[in-house]
Amino acid sequence: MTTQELFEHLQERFKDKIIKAEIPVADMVMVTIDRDDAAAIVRHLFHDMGGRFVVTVGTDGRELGRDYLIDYVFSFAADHLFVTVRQQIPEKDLWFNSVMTESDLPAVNWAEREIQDLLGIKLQNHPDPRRLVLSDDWPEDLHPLRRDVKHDINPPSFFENKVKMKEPPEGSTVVPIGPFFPVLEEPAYFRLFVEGEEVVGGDYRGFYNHRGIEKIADSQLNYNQVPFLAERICGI
Amino acid sequence: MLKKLCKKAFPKALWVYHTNCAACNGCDIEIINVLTPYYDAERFGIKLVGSPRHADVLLVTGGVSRQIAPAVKRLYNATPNPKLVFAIGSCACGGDVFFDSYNMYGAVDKAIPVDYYVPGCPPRPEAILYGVGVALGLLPKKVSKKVKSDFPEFQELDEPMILPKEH
Repeated sequence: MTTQELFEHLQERFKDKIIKAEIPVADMVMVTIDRDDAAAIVRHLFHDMGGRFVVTVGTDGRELGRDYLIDYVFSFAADHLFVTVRQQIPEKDLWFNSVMTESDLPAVNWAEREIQDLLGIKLQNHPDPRRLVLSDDWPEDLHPLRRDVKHDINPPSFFENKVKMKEPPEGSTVVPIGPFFPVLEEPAYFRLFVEGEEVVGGDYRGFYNHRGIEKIADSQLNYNQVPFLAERICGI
Repeated sequence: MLKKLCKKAFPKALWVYHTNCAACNGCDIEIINVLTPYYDAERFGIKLVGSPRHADVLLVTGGVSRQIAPAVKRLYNATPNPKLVFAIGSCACGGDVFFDSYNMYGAVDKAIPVDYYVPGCPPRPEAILYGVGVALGLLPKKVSKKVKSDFPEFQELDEPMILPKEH
């Protein structure tokens, strides 16, 4: 399968749904689609064509006159190809549909919640739209990865929207682990629901060590200075 | 005075609890390295324990993020007195490059009182051992830089070597 073949296949299959399709670089097909139709094309790429889900990225493109962008990137490793499914979210009407249940792709869970936290694009039809990245005392309406928010803001503590942990199922006991625990490599909080010896469920609150590295790299450093920041982070 | 207090309060084996608050794992690996047989911190009686309630010393790595700040304060209170706190690494000492980031509370001494600082990104295992050794009075503190001219017996070595002429 070449880039051109994939391009034609997608155009033919989603003729009436694709807003714009292009080949920006030789090994990538970029498909811009309405936010209501994203789940269908994601399902087709992942389940029918066997693409590997790589990453979901949210971008604040307002400075470039492009609204907010959400990209789902898939890779076809055998053919050395990438497909990017792009949604444009207008600034006036900030919401997007989760593709998690509709296209049966559980891997997008955290990525979509991260976009909701950091860019403030409201997530809809998500089974678990709780806060993921930002701390418990962070105010509701402040989204740090937007371009007009400064990197060193320090809002006062606001505990009203503390993350609510899941209720354990009937008859089970909760075993809390963390946030400090000798075998954990970073602070994280696990709640294991156990029935006797058996773990029947669990809940997780992570991102205790979110330091806003993306924002520092994005707003304070230029392209050549980012490796300095990257070297301050251990690679494992 | 602190040294005297240390000798009085911590005369025997020290039990340390390793606390990672928003570190990147670099310093944590070096701390684990100190405790392996190669560097063998147990010869000084230093032992890693699994609960802050058993610990004499907290080894804190990483700057304190907003999310972890209440937890690290609770951890400090859970450690029995007398206790020592070591800030290990640049992030713990002063925040490093993340010092003014939006989700950072600050360096460790903004959240809990710190007794000793071991800077470095990450500090080498030798540096951590040296810091602990100085703190416990096992090693003399380095007060001034010693240079070669302070040692008269090495003076003659400083004369320029005369190379044999090439034929």
